Amino acid sequence: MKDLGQLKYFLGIEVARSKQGISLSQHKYVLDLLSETGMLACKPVETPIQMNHQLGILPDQIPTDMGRYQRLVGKLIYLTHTRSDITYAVSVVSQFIHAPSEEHMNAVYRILRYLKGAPGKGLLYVKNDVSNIEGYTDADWAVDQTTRRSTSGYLTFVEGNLITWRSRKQKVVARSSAEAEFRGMAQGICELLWIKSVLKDLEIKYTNPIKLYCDNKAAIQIAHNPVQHDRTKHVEVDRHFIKKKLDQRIICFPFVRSASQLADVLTKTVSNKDFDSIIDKFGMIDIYALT
Amino acid sequence: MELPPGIKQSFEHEGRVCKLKRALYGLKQSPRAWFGRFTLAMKTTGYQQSNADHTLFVKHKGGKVTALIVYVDDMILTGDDPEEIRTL
Repeated sequence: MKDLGQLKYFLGIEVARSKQGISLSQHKYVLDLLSETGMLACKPVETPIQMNHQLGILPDQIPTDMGRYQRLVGKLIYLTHTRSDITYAVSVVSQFIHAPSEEHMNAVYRILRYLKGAPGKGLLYVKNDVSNIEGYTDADWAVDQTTRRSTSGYLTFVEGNLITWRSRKQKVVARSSAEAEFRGMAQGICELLWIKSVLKDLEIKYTNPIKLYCDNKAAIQIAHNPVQHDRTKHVEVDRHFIKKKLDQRIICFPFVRSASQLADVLTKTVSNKDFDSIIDKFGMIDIYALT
Repeated sequence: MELPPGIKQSFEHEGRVCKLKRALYGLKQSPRAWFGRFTLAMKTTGYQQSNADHTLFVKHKGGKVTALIVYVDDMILTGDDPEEIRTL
């Protein structure tokens, strides 16, 4: 086996160390992607997706080159390994890979234009005094115009550093926003439990319950309510799962105001100002930007 | 599968097959065989395979920890025990 020395480059991810911490970025990957698509000289935009976009599959849409669309989306998906800021936008465009239209292609180009604004943006892992695991979940109810399914997302932090995140369209139709949120919470718990077990193998243990921040009071209420309620009787499995973890004091659900809900950017479009302030809290910086 | 050059002469009759006793390049089973062998080698050097992620191997020695993670043929080795990292 060959020792390649200090970790610098791994599967297209660049690793850099500094006094501040360790940063992960896909700077070269972004630049290659931009030059391949001829977007190196494009005009940058502030956010990866348009506010209140109404993207969907319409019967009268103008089809576009499917192979090209799929290749581009595939490349963007790989990029989400370090770019939590484009996760939601990529999850939206990847819902149309079987029938892409010109409009969908324009949404992909918008992501590329956003990337042009800060190609070297990546995650920064900082040493600090925080010693816990935390998560944020959020859901956007019935957003899909054709199927009315909801989108949910979560973020997980270990010792204040962003570790994993996801945005995905839910598999079932939720009848209320609380129900969508509730299902998202169950997803978030699964991820946090997995992180806990990885850390256990490394002999890092946290005794306090893991905090999973949620901005829906109704969903928190349902989680705590031991009674099988008339309006929640159809969400049985997730309810028992969540209740059990609560009773074992593995997890707790503090309420977080929508304004400080970091998982917002994984489930919906937000304004330029909110987008920037949330992305900053992810610990994302552009180490290649001139300061 | 085609017979490697040089072997063909010894098979006088058509329709014979070879029984492989070991893994071979290019077979669809070979990555799995490689990983199985790798896992075994790691376990004999005192590493434990993590249950949460099967490509993560961890070794604890004297309060220090060394972790190795594999992706296909790329590996990252890290930890707070420089001696262990040097000797592996």
